[in-house]
Amino acid sequence: MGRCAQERRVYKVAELSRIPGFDIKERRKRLSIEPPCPPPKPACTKLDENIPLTPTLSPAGRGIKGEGKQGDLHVKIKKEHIIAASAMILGPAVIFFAGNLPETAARREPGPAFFPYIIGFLLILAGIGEAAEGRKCRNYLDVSFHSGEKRGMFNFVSFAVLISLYILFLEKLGFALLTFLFLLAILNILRIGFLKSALYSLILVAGLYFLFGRIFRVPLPAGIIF
Amino acid sequence: MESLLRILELQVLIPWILSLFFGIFVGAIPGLTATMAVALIVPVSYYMTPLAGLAMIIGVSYTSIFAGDIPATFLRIPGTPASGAAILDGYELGKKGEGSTALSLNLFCSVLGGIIGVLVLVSVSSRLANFALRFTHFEYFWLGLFGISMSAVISKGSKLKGLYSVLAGLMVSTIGMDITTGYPRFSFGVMGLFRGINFIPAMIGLFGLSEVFKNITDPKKLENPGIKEKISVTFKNIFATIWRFKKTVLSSSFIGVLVGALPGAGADMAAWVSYGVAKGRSKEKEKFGRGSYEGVIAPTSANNAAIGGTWIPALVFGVPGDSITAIVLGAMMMYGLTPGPLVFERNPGLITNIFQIALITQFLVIFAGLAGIKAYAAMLKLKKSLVMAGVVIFSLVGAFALNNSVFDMGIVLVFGIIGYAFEKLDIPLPPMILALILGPMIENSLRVGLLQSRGSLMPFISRPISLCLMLLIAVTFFGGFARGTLSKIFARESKKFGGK
Repeated sequence: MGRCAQERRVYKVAELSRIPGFDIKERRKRLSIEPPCPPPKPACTKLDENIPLTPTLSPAGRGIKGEGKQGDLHVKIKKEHIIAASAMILGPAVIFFAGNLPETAARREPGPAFFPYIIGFLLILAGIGEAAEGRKCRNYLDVSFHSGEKRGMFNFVSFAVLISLYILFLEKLGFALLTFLFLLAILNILRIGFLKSALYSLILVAGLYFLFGRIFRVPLPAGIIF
Repeated sequence: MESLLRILELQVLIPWILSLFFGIFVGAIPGLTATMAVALIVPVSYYMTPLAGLAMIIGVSYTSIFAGDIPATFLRIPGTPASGAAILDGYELGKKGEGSTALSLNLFCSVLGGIIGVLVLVSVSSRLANFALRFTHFEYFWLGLFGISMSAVISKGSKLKGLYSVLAGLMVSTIGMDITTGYPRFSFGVMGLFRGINFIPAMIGLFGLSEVFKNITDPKKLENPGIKEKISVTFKNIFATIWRFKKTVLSSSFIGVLVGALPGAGADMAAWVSYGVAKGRSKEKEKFGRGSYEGVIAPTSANNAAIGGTWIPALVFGVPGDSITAIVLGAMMMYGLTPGPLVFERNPGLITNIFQIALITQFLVIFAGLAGIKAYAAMLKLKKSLVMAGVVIFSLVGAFALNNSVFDMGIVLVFGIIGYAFEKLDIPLPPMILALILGPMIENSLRVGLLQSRGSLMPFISRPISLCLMLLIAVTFFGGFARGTLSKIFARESKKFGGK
């Protein structure tokens, strides 16, 4: 018996059990209605099946959360596949780089490469396992570049870039100036008004300088400008 | 008495009390976790005496876990993951206009649970430490492996994802100088990587910055929720209610300690398990989920008791019970203390002080909690975007302050992105943290053990304690023991009531 027929039978039995007494007419009436075949149950997480597997431009209003616009980009990737791919790249890479490590004088003695080798092999095995799990799972990563989520993506990228710039220029521009500018920029991204941002940044810079610079005597970078 | 006076010195007392309020603040803001609170406090504690630093960490962990119950009761949003179970009946009571009663029960049961947790810690740890002195490299290898395998199995998500997280942590732990030969591994000529990945910046990134990324990528999370009910604490009938459900308080607290002592389980799992058990044993099962006092008492007693439980393996064996104690171990190493049975012999005074601080903290939680509850409405008015900006800069400057190193700030960023990616891919973070801290111990024990046995694996399996630990790992991984009991209750209860 196929899955659909099996589920229809279960459905009918459930329906019949709801009829009080033994009403033969009612039973026949209900049995004559062919229930629709229910959709297959997802093996893992239930997700919107309308999202295509490849990056596509969607029609209007068919985003992951139903907030998309016509022409928005959607990408549907199985989480297990991403994990499997990263494990398959990392595992061999660890083994390759561990191969360059020197051996110890005594050959029976485990050298610096011994432990990384084990990790590398286990990573490959975990990758194979994840790939197999991905075959039965419907556990997708929501990468949806529609208007509702564009803002979040923009926030993430701009935060990562600003933090990188902060780290790169901290020693050159100095703690006080750069921290003030950095805070001003991230608060602007988070849509806080300029005056409020400036005031908050100033208070935070002064507080951090007092705590770390004065009380803990951490040599915070002064910069080459001042 | 002399040791008690040592913790009442101003240089310990002031940061300790301030940390209690910091814990309340972080714990009460949805989206910020107790682990994040501890990770952020560590760089500050680095500039203090080890005693003051540990007092701050203990204070923050207890108050932040309690404070997570405040938004759980009034907003149906758990302040920290440990308060996930508190939303069920706490929020229902709030809807009936009994939010203040629920919050008062939370406060006093948290304190009672915390006291029971500390008392178990005090009574068990010294004896266990004496036993742990018999451990050699062979036993420590299996113990470390047990810690990470347990965390991989009982963490949320699939076992394989837990294993991936463990392997990622182990891989990161191999970066830097080799323990025995001193040869640099996976440093690729980068000077900063020669001494390995500094644990504290990695933790700040994984738990501080990744939380910020999670919040800013979902603009809805940055919106400030409002509360209609007036927040207050009531003492009316509270003690009578606690007395009525004294068995629930006791059993939940002991469950909390037991679950907390399992590596990787932590306070959130303790809360769910105790909720499930309390519901199963209750005479008023039908009231659960509809505003039951027992449903509030059970998880809140358990999550604070679990903190004491997590400290048992951390102090005695150097194996963290959860991500908070993993940070504690990192901080202890930073202070020059090596956690494990020897710390009981070498620093008995410090151990006594830790116990005293943990016990006194329970009473201080009452005052900090009362003040925090009163200030909560004002806290909610503070824009979350401003809090996020504060967390970002505090994470970066805190990491810099540890070694005056810009490189450590880079570690914060990289691990922040890794943490965010792990969250998105449903990979649990605690196994990675445990592997990161236990990796060197496992590797060292394995290599030294093999060296001692001249390459033979027999001593690893023939010694009685080693054999027991090995069997325990086999049962954990292949028998489905932990998953079948703890995770089942955890998943069932959390899914049933819409938790995560």
